[in-house]
Amino acid sequence: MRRDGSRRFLFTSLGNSLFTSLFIVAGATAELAQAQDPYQLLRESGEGFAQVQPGRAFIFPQDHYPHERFKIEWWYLTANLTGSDGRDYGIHWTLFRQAMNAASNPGGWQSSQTWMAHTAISTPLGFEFSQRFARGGIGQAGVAATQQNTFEAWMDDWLWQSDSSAPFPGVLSASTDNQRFNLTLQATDDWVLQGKNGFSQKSDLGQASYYYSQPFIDITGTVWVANEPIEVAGKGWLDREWSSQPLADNQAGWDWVSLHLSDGSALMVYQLRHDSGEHYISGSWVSGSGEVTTLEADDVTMTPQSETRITTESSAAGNDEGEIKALPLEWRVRVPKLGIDVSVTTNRPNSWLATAFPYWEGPVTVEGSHQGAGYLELTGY
Amino acid sequence: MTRAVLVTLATTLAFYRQNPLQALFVLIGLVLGCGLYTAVAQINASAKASYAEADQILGASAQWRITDRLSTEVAIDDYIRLRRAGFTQVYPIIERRLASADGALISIIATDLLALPLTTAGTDSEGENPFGSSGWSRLTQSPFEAWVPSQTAERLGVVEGEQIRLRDGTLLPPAAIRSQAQQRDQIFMDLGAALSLFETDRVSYLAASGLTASERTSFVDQFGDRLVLSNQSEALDLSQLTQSLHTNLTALGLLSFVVGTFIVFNAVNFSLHARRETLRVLSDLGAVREAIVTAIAIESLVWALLGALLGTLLAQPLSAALMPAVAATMQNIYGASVSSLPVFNAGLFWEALLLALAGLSLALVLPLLRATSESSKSPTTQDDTLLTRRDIASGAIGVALLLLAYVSYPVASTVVQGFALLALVLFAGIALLPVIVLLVAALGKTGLKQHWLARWAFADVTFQFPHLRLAMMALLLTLIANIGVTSLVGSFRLALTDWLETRLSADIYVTAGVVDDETLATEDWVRAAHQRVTTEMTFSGRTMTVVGVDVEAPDFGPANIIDGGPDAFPRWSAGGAETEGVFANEQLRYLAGIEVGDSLALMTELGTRSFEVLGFFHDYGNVNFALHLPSKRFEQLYPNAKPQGWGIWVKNDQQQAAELGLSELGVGPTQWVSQREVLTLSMTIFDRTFAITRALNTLTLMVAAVAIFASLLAVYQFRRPEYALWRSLGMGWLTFFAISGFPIVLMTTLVMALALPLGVALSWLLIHKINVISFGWTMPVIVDAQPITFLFFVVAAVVLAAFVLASLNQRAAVNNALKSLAGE
Repeated sequence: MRRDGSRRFLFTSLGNSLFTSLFIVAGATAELAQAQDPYQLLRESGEGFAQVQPGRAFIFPQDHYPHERFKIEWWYLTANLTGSDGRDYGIHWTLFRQAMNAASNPGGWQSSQTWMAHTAISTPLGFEFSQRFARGGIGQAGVAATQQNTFEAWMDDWLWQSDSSAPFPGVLSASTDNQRFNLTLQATDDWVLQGKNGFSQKSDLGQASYYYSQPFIDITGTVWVANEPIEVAGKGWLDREWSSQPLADNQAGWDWVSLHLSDGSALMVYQLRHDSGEHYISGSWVSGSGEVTTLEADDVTMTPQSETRITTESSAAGNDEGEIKALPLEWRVRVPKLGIDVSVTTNRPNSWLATAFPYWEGPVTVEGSHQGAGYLELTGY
Repeated sequence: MTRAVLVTLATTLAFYRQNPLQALFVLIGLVLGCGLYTAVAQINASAKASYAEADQILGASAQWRITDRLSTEVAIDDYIRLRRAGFTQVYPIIERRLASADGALISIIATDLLALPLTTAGTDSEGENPFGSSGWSRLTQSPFEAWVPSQTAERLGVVEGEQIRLRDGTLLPPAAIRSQAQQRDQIFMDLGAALSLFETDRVSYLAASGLTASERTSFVDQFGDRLVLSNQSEALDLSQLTQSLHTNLTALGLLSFVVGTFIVFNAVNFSLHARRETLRVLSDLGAVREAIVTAIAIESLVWALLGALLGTLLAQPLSAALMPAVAATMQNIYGASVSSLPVFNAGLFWEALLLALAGLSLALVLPLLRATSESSKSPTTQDDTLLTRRDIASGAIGVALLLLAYVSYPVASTVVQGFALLALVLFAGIALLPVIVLLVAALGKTGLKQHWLARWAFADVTFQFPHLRLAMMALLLTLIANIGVTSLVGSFRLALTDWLETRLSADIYVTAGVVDDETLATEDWVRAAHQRVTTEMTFSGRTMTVVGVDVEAPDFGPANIIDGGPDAFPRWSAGGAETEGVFANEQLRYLAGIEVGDSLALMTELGTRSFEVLGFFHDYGNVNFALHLPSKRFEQLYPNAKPQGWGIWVKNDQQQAAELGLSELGVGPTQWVSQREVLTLSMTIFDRTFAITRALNTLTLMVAAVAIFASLLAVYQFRRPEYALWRSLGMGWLTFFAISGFPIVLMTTLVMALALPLGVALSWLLIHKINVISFGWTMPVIVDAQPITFLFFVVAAVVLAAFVLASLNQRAAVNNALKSLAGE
């Protein structure tokens, strides 16, 4: 499997600065494995960058575009699709933006912005992902309005092209080594502001992000599996999030689900795992009519039911070298006040993205009080 | 049997304990021989490993190269277009070769690390990724970083954080001492930094890894009108190009080994001779011949192991010291980027061991046979009046070899055959030496009948020569090679200087597109200004550059033409005749077999045209073909060709005004260069290129000196009883040294006298055969007396030193012998 961005020499060479700072943060007890945690980026202080504050007014379509004063930002699409062959297909496409420093962006080849993109395609034949990097400022990657004032998000030839200044209606095409897709994306529902009007708190220590979603995307299109076109249709979910320090020092990673339930509603739950075992949990439920309920720690539980051992491909980041990982791929999610008590399972356990930021991201099936499908994301394992 | 072997071994080895100097010489010979050979082999292997990676850039495959159809550089916007079209294997490269403020050569390579499609699979020991690393930020954000490999930093004398200043005053980003895969001796920086530093929006070329056939088709469909895709593995084959240099180096390495073997031969011969008595006693005590042979074979194996091991160890610092010179040669002559760090290769140890064993067996077989069969007669006694049959035969062989070389000279047509010719000359010298020395000695004896001391001295030559024969042969080999290579380098240097001075007769060279005709015409300081225009095509599998040359330009005139006949230049200048004329570089003559009067069909923009070759011109160091057309005609035939820079001739004493004028015309300091600077830079490149030859010359000479010293010690030890007798008969030390010293003086003189013509012959062969076969150009052979005199002076000094050292040892030994004889 190709990893476009496995820049081995770069990782080796780009020095030990991360080590140094991390050892200071984590103290003498830090284990080496933790010292190499690529997610440390998300815990680094966003000093000098713009900070996430409650009470911000969201303005569209402007907020669909980059917020360069913030350190990190993403456009995150997942989709559960059914093929003309009656089988399940999963699509995951993400564009990450990162600012290398808080100084004003000189642009061009000296741009302070770096882009990273992931494409992962889950088919009955298996799971394939691809990772790419590009610098900002040179037109190779970015999110911007075209001259016709339409929305465009791209990395090389991976392209999300909209007919309007918002992401929808749009067309997305991307590829991995042996597979590619071309999807038409439609969404008419309002944008869902997560947390408190888009202010999504991640920790009691103040870490937070701006976070909004579009849970109801209607998708049709084609997935080519080894050059064989298969017509697909289904539902997608777009998350937009930006921050300057989304993770707290005592948080190892997060577990996140976005589920389309059989009654037409959508449920999103995440928990940030604390070293202490007291996790920070939050979420939202959007009814079929678009009514949003924010879920607090008292409203929702997310409990792992078992551990599945998978062999991960060696990661570009080098800190998990084809090792066997025990992952919680089976969950029970309960929202008693909404009568939701479901089990979330996957039949695609090998959905590990051995990228520079390795994580598990794959399609899941919902059983229990509700039926449905969605995506599960596990980071920091 | 085993016990017998062990006892024999212990007894024979005891000799070395009593004669540590002999042990040392066996060892020195083996170590030097193996060491030099291994060092050279290691250098060759490392350079070849670099060629194998020639289609790799900084760890990424660069099998394909994309260039602009109309420009020497590619617009960076075209790169982005390619990426957006899905050609994600494509990445941009800027390569520059520049001079630093203090005249050092610097190669710069820049790319966008984020775009590099890496071929190296596997994981990293240090987890970090560009997305969020401060290292990435330092590299890509002002003031940027220049990654200097440690060996390059050492060469340039750069420390971490220091900024290298270029000749034009530009400062490179602060240095970070580190390197990437295949960075070799290049300084790496981010593409953004390079674009900003060189104030350009174009890159040298785009490289690409693994494009499939359908991707290539798609490329041609979408971009074929403006960009050209070429396969690098079909481009100039570096290993083929540089083969002759490597053969050359290997030959020098083998030569060192041969000289080393001479030392071993001497030492082993002597040690066996000295142990004759021991061996005879052992034999009388019942040791069977097999036991003695086995013991000596074991001894040889131990020597070979020691020699190969220490030799391989010696080769490490040696090749590390020599490699930068080789890397410079490769880069300067062939443009091949080679790492200046040699790579250790364990296989070479076995090669060295095999060589050492082969050399030892060679040195052992004859003496051993003699020692064990015990012919009782000293192997070295010689009839003092006549040449032996063997000497005459050897002389005859020498003459035959020279004749063979003479006869086969015209037919030799490959590099290997060329080197075989060289070998013939070298061996002829060796074969001729004994007969010459002994003849001169015989003549001296007969010619100086009335002078007893002179007769004695001449007679002593006959006595000493058998012992010194091998050392003298080693010295002869070394001297021939030295003179040959020194003359080659000297001729090359002079030819290059001449050529540069003619070719670079303009005072100032300005980059294309910066100034134009009209502007220059109005400048007071301009005496003349000419622009060259070129186009490239392929001929006989090589690139051929067609150059439009101003017929009035002072740097190309009738004097530059070889074999052109008197009317060639006017006919060429007039142009446009029924059969148009061109001048071709010698490479076309030697590599493509074109002769004066031949016709060449060339593609022009007006269709295919036929041109008659009117003559040739020297084009030193060019690996490609070149044709010169008058510029007026060239413009008609190739209206879209690319203009090269301007050559400007400055009026007398107006150099300063010229420099001022250029800056007033807006010509930046990077856009022009003065002739003086180009000349200095070229000669610096040249001298660095041949540093390797000088180093190897010196090393072989040192090995030869050791050989002579060892032989002198041996000869004196053999003849100690005789010398003691002379002394006891009342001979004074002065007379004694005159008689014992004369032979070495005479032999050295004869060796030098023989080495001179053979050395010149060798350089003739190198220039007119090897060079033509490998590069396709010749130059006049110039024998410069000065370096040869110096060489002879050094040899005389070395031999004298060896004589003095050996004599002092001898004097003490003779005195001791006499004292013990007197029962003191």
